[in-house]
Amino acid sequence: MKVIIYAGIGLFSTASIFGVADYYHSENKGELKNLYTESSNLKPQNSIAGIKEKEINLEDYSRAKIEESMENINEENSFPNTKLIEKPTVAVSKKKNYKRKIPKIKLSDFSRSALIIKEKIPVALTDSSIEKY
Amino acid sequence: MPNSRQLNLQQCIRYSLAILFWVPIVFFSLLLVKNTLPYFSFKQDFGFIEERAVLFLKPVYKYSFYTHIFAGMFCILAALTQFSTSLLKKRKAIHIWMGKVYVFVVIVLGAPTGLYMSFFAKGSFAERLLFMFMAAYWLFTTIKGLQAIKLKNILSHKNWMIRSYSMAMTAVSFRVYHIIFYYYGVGHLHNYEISLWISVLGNMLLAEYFIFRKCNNYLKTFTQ
Repeated sequence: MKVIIYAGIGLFSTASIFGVADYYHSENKGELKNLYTESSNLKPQNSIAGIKEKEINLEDYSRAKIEESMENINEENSFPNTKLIEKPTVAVSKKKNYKRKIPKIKLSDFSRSALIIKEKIPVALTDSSIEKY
Repeated sequence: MPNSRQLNLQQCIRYSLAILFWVPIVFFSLLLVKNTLPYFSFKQDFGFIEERAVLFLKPVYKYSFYTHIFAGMFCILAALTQFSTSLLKKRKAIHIWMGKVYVFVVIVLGAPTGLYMSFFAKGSFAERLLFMFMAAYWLFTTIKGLQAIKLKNILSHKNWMIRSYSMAMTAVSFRVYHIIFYYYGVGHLHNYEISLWISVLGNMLLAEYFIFRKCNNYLKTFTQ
């Protein structure tokens, strides 16, 4: 019994001394700076290789520009024999759904590791998708 | 004086409460052991290891981690057999041998490796101190429990072992709180810190409550 107790106390003391020494050694080396940074776990899903992201100028999508382009369409490309039918506009009430997303929990989540809610990140606008519109 | 029907009802309630208390403990303990087993494939693609990738480059930390989870598995499995009074009465040898496994695993493997790892634990300085305290308290209570049984002081042995087991069970209770807070949308780092404090302090308080009740019942036997 005494052997186990003394061995335990000896190991515990060694662990505490070695732990302090190792901690300060690692800190001086700068190894602990990037410890527990969650950036590696939370990489945005849209940064997939091969997809070019295009910068969007807000000016290109301003209301004035869009209206101007619509006028051009009406003037230049209008059909002479067609009548414009005005449809009655219907007011649509936009009810926002404020329901909280309930995360799914698996039995394998029963661990000390980080539990991160994986949200759907909108896909980046590509050249082809912008040209479509 | 209560009649036999009242006594039966009391016994029934006591058994039901015991089942309600022990079934989740056994289930979550076994789940923890089951989730620990994949780590022994020594692969690096686990969330826990990926978070500490820098630390796992150190051989001492790596071996400490594997020793700690190996010890934790045996500690939790061995502890499950220790609180059964029927097992203690009918198969005392199992209680003694499992107790020896528990004591060895905690004193020689679990607590020292836990202390070393606590220096690099996640969270602020307070959380690191809490982990250090846990390791020290776990070692101290287990040694006291061992010394008490060697002196044939059974009540003291039970009390110290309840305290020791409460520290071992922080691994389980932490995970339960962690999932509950995650379910309610608490951010990861806050969740981690809150779960850690609640699991340690909560388990300690619960252990002291059980000890208080046990001692109260023991003292009542002298007045009857």
